Amino acid sequence: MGILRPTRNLEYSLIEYFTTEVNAAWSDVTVGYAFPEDSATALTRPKAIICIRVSDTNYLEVEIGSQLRYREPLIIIDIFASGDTQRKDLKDFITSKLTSITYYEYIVTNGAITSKIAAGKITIKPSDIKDVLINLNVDKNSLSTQDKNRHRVTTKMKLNKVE
Amino acid sequence: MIRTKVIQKGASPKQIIYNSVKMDLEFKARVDALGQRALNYMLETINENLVRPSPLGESNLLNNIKIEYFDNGWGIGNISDLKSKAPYFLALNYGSSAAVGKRVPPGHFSPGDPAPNKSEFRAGRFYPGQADGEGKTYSFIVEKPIQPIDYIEKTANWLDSEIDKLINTWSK
Repeated sequence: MGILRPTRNLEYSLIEYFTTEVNAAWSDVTVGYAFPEDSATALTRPKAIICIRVSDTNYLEVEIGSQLRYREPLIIIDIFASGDTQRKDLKDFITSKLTSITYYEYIVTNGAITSKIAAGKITIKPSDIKDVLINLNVDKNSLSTQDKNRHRVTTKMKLNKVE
Repeated sequence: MIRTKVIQKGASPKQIIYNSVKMDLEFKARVDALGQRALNYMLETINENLVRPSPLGESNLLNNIKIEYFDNGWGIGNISDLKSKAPYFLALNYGSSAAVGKRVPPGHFSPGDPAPNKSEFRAGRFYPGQADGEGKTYSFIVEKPIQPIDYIEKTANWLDSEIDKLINTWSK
């Protein structure tokens, strides 16, 4: 039995949080992990997909001279919508849900997650949230439906757990 | 009769102005230096994450992301330049599945065999529409999307933290 390390805990916590939120409001949107697999699957699937990943992390010292720290990861959320109006709705929905999120530590037994423990809060400053329409500057007819209607939301988060 | 005596304490107005201008110039120099470091950070991020690293000097993207200085700051990457010289710069940042399932025009991998070779995994780049020196070509159907490098977001995040550090040290 072991506990996952913070980056994976963060990713799982965020995916679980957004899966619950999205499923309560939408019926045809899948929340997943990183870009490549989900994007490839998106080519054959008519559903919209939201991919969430933890990118680079900055660290803040708890106090001057201390080795204790907080982590401030960069979060990237890619939205592959099934239409332009859904793209706009999804990005507004996602940004509105970027508030305070429970951070869980996941317990793994024999390689599988068996339980989780609430271990802190992830907080977000509204001024750190950015969203951008993705236009790849290629012929739109060459793109899958989801690739035509892409949006990216990025934000810094602070994990309020001393490490 | 009242007599007054003026004693100067601290800096004179002239000295204050001088110090202020000097600080402005020093701060600007540090911000300019940060621009160069941000450019290096972005180029390193791209280089470290290229799936098929190119021989030195052969990457249009790495060669064409440059810093431009203005009176009031600087910017990295001229969009119109990149659109013409490295049009895939957005696909590399955001990832793209535009080519998945499509056959690429016959071309060749180089250096190495024109067809993919397990012993040269990720060693060569594909040059579509061109035969190799012996006239051999190879074509394939793209199976995997381009993975996003996120070099724009990663650099912005790094810069954010460096600006915080600069302001913190400057205000002390």
